[in-house]
Parts: sequence; structure tokens; C-alpha cells
Amino acid sequence: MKTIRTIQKIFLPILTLVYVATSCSETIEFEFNPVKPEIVVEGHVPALECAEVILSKTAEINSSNPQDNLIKNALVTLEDNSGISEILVEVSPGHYRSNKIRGMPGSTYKLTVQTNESEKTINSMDVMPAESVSINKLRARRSILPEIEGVKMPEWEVIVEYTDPAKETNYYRFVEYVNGKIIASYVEDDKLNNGKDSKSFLTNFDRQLSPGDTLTIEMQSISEAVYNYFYSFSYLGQLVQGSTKTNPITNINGAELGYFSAYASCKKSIVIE
Amino acid sequence: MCFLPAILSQTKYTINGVVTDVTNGETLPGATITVEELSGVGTASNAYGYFGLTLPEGSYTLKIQYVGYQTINFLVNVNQNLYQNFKMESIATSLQEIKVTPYRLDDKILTNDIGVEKIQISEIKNIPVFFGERDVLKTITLTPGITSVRDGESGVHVRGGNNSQNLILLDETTVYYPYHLLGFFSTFNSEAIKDVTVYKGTAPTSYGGRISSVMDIRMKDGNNQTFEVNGSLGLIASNLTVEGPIVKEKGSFLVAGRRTYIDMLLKLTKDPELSSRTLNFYDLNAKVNFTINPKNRIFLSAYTGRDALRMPNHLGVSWGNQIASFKWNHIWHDKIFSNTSIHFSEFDYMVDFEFEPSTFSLYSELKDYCFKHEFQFFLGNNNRLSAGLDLKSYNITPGQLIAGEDAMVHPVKIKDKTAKERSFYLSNEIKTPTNWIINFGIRLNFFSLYGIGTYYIYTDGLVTDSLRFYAKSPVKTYFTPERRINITHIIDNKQSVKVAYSNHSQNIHKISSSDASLPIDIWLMSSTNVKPEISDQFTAGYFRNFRQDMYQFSAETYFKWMHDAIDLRTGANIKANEHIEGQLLFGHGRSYGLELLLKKATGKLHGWLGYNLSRTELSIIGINNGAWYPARQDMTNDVSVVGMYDFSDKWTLSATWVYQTGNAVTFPSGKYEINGEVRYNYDKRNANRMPDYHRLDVGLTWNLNTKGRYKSSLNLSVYNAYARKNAFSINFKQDPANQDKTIAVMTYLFTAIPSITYNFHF
Repeated sequence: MKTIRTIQKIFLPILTLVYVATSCSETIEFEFNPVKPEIVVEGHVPALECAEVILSKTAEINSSNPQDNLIKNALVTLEDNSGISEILVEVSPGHYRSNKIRGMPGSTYKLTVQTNESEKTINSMDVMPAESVSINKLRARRSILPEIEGVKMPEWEVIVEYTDPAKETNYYRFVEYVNGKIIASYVEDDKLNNGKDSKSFLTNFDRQLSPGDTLTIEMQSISEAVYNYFYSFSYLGQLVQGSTKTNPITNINGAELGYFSAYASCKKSIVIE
Repeated sequence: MCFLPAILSQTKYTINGVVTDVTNGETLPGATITVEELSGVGTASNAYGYFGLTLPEGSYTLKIQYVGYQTINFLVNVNQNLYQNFKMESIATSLQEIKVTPYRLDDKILTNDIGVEKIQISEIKNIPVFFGERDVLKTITLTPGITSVRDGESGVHVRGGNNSQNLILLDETTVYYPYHLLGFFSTFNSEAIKDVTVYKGTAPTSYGGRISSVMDIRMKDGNNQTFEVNGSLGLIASNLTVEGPIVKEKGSFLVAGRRTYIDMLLKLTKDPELSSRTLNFYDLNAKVNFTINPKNRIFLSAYTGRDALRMPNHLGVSWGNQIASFKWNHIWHDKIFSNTSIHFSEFDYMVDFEFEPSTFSLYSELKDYCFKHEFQFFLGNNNRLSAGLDLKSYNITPGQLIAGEDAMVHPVKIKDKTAKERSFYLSNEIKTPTNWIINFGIRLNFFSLYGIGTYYIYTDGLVTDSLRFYAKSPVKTYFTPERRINITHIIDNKQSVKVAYSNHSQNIHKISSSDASLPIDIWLMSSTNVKPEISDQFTAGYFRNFRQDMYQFSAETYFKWMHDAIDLRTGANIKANEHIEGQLLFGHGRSYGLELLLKKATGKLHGWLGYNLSRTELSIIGINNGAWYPARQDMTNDVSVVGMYDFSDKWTLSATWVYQTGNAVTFPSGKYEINGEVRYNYDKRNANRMPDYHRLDVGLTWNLNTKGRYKSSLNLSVYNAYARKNAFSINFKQDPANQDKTIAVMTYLFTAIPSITYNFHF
């Protein structure tokens, strides 16, 4: 959805411009309605690496110890399509890791979770795309978007160049790290640019870079279900939703929040000048 | 037609003709013609000013009345059929506009209208404005039951309906996207507009196609007596209107233009980026009418308007409407009036992406051709029958991606969709001697979607079947009969009670890509997956006037069901998507409420107080487990106060104040971490509220020259006079000072906005 990204990149500033330079923001007092905690599942099967699953519960909106919400002592099982099955070991509270199973491109993975927090068995399935796509070039430059007084504009543009394989529909997730810390992630599909030499503009209004920083982009080839999950968090996903905010569509059955992704990836880093 | 012989068997004669304004020849719809000698006998002119009155042989005094005009007492000896036009003289003598509602003060008591708001442009001349631009779509939101959700947003919701469910007509031609500048202004240049009638409930059967309301906006006919120039210079736009006779008394023309110059202001800046930017819109209205002879009159009207936003080497967005219509009024017989018309309407948008290494564009278009033929039979004094047909042909070009070989993207061509809608309608209004007015009607719609190409059937968003169709073969046909009935009982000249039931259907649907009124919304037609949207509405009302009609009070209550309402699936991909219909969810809506209106129509201080208590809920399969939840436009309390005070011929002070319960939104109810980033858990759909909205606008009109040929006035307005920070959006994030704490950040668009407009007339 390159078009969409492009719309998002340029249309929003224009919109903001039209919404007059008098637009202002301020923090307001707000009452939240607490509800009962929901289970959150975050499962990764990276190619050639061990699988990891993190289990937690949602916290009250102003609670300060997210660690308290990790789900311990769960029975987490991972199975691949060759019939290998493994119970993941809890390596730290709420973090479960595989020993035998390492991600293989093209394989299907099944996740099953049983916890004391839920009577339902939680399960999910994901297929790792058969090929990973490599980054041809990674660039970061000062934004060419004009500055508008009073309107927040992205300061930096990060552009990832890659050659999209023509064979199939590809879904990508770009994870952005600055000095080794995850800053944000972005998703794209190739419905409009299948098989082309492509450029992805990773738009982030909050990105802050300084000379000497190491910028790393991990380009993951993901499944459509995982793409749909992360799309809800994207600027366009947010724009389409407008004020009607909802939880993203998850590929987990038995839990409302989280995702399970088997992906192949490559990384590229540059140092900001 | 069983009542026809009864009328023909009596020996009576008919007087017919047209009621107009003597100074400019504008027709006066709704003027009443009563007979002094026969109590209860009378009629009113129709939308074209035409009337027909049948009387037994004899001498009578006819009384022709229209508010703001001097009453005509006309002595007539009825011994043959007569053609008699009436030219009425306005009471207003200076530029000072007619200060009162220019329709009859007892209209609401004595007519069958329920759920109807009429606004004459001259009536709102002094209302405070936003950025110097008077806007009819904004003004109608000051009446109960009609709201807009956001600051500066023109999209209106009528009795809980969506903003895509209003039939917006300019000279009876559908306008598909009547907004400029992403919704801040409407496409209706108030200098070219004569009046607006909004039907919130039962619309006449001649109108159909939308389930929420009909907004019938009519252009001025043009002065057929003398040449006239009107204009105004505002902060961001100017307009000029020229009108005059083609042949005196017989025909006239009107041309009105409006253009903004925001980009001219940008050019003044030193920043080359800003000065190269395009940001403007224009409107051009034209109308010609000609009375060939007393029996034939023709009208031609046209509109074109366009917005252009462009940042060189980045992006260009442009959109516009093209509208044209030809109408022919014909009097076949003293009692038979017909109107035959052809309409054309087009809306398109183009988004150009001007990027390295090449450009590509997103384009979409919607076209509609329409033929209408309607007869009105004046069957005696108190019986009017209308019958007509309405044939429409639609063509939608969905979002196309136009790209060259070297572009970053592949072109996407989604096939055009065509459909025809044939409607036949009939309605009959009878007034009984016992003061009952009964109007019943039916409208039969046949909607057919036509091939060519493959049509898919979706289950849970996935293609489960596909069907191939040849060109012009029907893919799907829907028959929707619409029943409408209004019953009024006039208790006395001061009060009446009314009940109504109406049923509307809609086959052209709009899917909004966001809350903002963006032109890139998607139009869909009823199909194998999308059923016609249907509404059923019951209304009951009590109407009462006090103190010689100076005060008018009305209370209306309504209950509306909306069937086959459409919503988007979570995370829907909607741009250039052939399978858009798979991204939709369907369900039901309901809205009910009480509307109170107290109007003071005459006197130095005039205006109105409106209050609406309402609830609007949706139940969509796939959202909130199908349980009822508040719609985004659900606003429990809505108050509007409009006041105008005429100090003298020179000075008028005006103020409007609105208060609305904050609309329904979804806020987070918990938080969690994914990939080290904090995310929010959204529990129930629309279970929260935005802060309440309220705003005061004030305006001052100073008539500079009131005598002589050249007249001018100055209008000063302040929008949001006490600078209330009304929330446009509320977003949540972790407090930068304390990462554990979540803060709510409210964005507001406007504080106080003063504006000044200079109006002239000669």
C-alpha cells in the first residue's frame, strides 16, 4: 500500500495546514474506566533462531509496574508442520523460549498456551514466508517537507530501497532501532508495486536522530495476518479509524490482544552524519 | 382517480397564475390565496410560484399573502377560467433585509409540514459567520435535529443519520460532495441561493434516494425587472453576482462567482515553499429562466466548482462538482401543471503524487443523469394530486491508480460500475372541511446494477463465490416501495397536531475513509453484497403560535429505524481495493428524540431557541458483539440560540450560541506492551464522550449606504467569541515526564476568529 503510505506522508501535513495554523494541543484531565485485565500474547518465530513467546495481562492505564502483569507458569507449546513439538521453557518471568525448534522459511507453526488466567486454551498459527527480501539501500535525510509554524512535521525521512519479488504477494514489517533500541515499526504490502524496485518512506512524526546515532532497520517478511495486525497501528490505520479506535485484528484465538508471527528478516545499519 | 368526476360535474371556474416579487420577478413559493367570502377556501403557490384555485361562479375578493410583502386584495368576477398573475411588493424599503421569516407566520400551524425547516437566505443575512463566509449548510445545524460533529465541519447529521444519508439538491439536481477545503465550507455560494428547505422526516414523494433527509436548495431566478450587481469582499474569499432581465418581465439571468485567495496570501510570504503552494476553490453558478407564454416557462441552471490544493513536487489534490439542469413548467389545463426536467451531476477527484522518479495519480468519478416528469393536478380547492416518474442512470469509476511504466507503482484499473434507478411516485393531499389535512403517497423504486465483469460474493471478508456478467445484463435488482403519510389536524388558527410515517431507501452509499469530510470517500452502489439502506420514521408534533403569530412554538418527537446500515471492518483496506465490499459490516441503527423550537419571528429582537434531546445507536454484526452502542454522532443534548437585534436601519447585532453533549468516542481502558512499545486496550465501542461542545458567535452589521442606488454594508463577526477550546480530537500517550502515566492530549482547532466582510449592491 505504497499509495496509502504516500497519502499518509503528504496528505496529513496538508490536512494539518488546512486545519489552520491556529490548531493547538494541550493535556487534559481524564477519567479512565478500568475493566478486567485481558491476556496479551506476543509470539515470534524468527528464521534460523529460537522462538520466543511473551505472555502478559493488560494493566490499569496509570499503573507503574508492567512487570507485575507478566503471566508466569504457563504451558506454552510450539509445533511445526514436520510434526516436531516442544514445550517452551520460561527463561524469565513471562518469557518462554524454544530449544529444539528454530524458524525455517516456508514452515507452518502452531502455538498453544494454557494459563491459570484463562479457562480457554489460547492458540494460533502462522506460516513463515518462503523467502526473505534484502535491503538494497538504507538512507536517512533531513525532511524535505516544508516547515510550518506551529505544526509538527517529521524531522527526518528514512527511506528503505529493496527489490520486491514478483512471484507472490509480499508483506513487510520494518522495525526501526536507534542505537539498538526499538523506536517504531511500519508495515507495507506490495499490492501496488509487486515486482518493482521499491522505496519505502518510513514516516514517523516523533523520530529524533542526532549525528553519530546508529540507525538499524530490520526488514521482516511476514504473513498477511501479521500485516493486518500491525496495519491497525499505522498512521493510515489510525486515520481510517478516526475517533473510532479499536483493538487490532489479532491472529490469536482465545485472547483479544497480541499476535503470533513467524518471519524471515534481514538487517541494515547506517550511522547518521 | 375516483374523485375526478365529482369535480368535473360541478359548474366551477379556475383562476390560475404565478405569484412573484414585483421588484425582481422572483417567484414566491408558498404564497397563500384565500377567498374573503368563502371561509376555508384557498390554496398556496407551489415551488414554482404557480397556483390554481377553483371557485363557483360569482364575485369574490381574493387575498394574496406572503410574509414580508404587502397583502393584495383582488376583486374578481368569476364567470370564466382566468389566468391571473400576482406581483407582490416587499414591505422592506431599504437594503435592510426583510427582518422576518419570509414565509407565512402561521405556516407551521396551517400546513401539513412536519419535520421541515425552511430558511431563506435573506433571513440569515445578519447571522455571524465563519471566516466571512455565510454558509447555508452551517446555518441549518442551528435548528434542532440537525447537527455537525466537529468544529468547522460542514457534514451534517439529521436525526441521527450519517452525513452520507442526506439528499442535497441544488435546483433539484443531486450534489454529491458539497464541500470545499476538506469540509470547512459548503459549495453553496449564498449570494446565488434563494432558499433552503430541509425535510428531516417525511419528504415529498418526488424526492428519494437517501434515508435521512432532503435538503432542497434553490438558486435565485434572477431579477427580470432591472439589472442588479451584488458582491462582497471577505477575508479569504470574494464573490460577485450579476442578474437582470433578458426580456423585461419575461426572462432573466443570474451569474454568480466566488473564489478564495488563500494562496494569494501565501504568495505574500517570503518562504518560497509556501508561496509556490496552491490552495484555493471557486464556485460558478448560472441560471436563466424565460417565460415563453403564460403556459410555458423554462429554466436552465448550471454550477461548477473546484478545489485545488497543491504542494509542488509533492502532492496535488483537486476535486469538484459539475451540475446542469433544464426544466420546463407547463400548464396543460387550468388545473394541471407539469414540470419536466433533465439533470446532470458529476463529481470527481484526482490526487497527484509528484515523486521521484515519476508521478502517478489516484482518480475517481461519479456521474448521474436524470430525467424527471411530474404532474400536479389541482383537483378543487383542497385536493392536490402529484404523480411523476424519476429515471436515473449512474456511473461510478472507483479509485483508479494511473501510473506510467517507470512509476514506483503499477496502474490499477477497477472496472466502472453502472446502475439505473427507475422511480414512480404518486401523492395526494386532501384538506377536509373539518380541518384535517391528509397527505398520502407512495414511491416505487426499481434499482438495477448492471454488468460487465465479475462480481464477487463475500462471507466474513473472503470471496466465497464469483459471478460473471455480460455488458448491460443486470447483476442485481432491488425493488423498494416507500410509503409516506402525513396527517394534520388544525385545532384552531393558533395550534395544530400532526403525525407522520415515512419510509425511505438508499442505493448509493458512501464509505468514509475517516472522520474528516475528505473528498476521497468511496461511493458504492447496492449490489449482491450491499443491500439498500432503508429507514422507517414515525413523527408526532404539536405546533402553537402566540401573540399574533409573533411567537411560534413546536414540539416534535421522532423514532427512526435504519436497516442495513454499513460500517467498515476493523483495519479495512479501502483504497484502490477491488474487494472493498468484502471489507464491510452490516447492521441496524435506531434514533429517537424530542425537538423543541421557539421562534420569535417579528420585532426588533428576533431569532429562535432550539433544543434537541436524542439518542442514536447502532448494532452491527462484528462490532461490540452485535450489541447496541452509541453512534459517533450521538449527542444527548443539543441547544441552539439565535438572536438578532435591529437597533436601527443602520445597525444590527446578532449572536448565536450552541451547546452539545460531547459525541461518542472510544477511549482506552487499559494498557500493555508489545515489542517494548506501550499500546492501549480499547474495550467497548464508543463508550466514552468527548468534552461538551459550546461556542458563542457574534456579529455586527453596519449598513453604510442605505439610500440611493449604491448600497453597502459591513459585517464584522467573531467566531467562538469567548475562545472556548473545543476538542477536535483526543489522543493518548505516555507522559514523557513519567513513563508510567498515561496522558490525554486534546487538540482544538480554533480559538476566537474575527472576520470582516464588505457587501455592496447596485
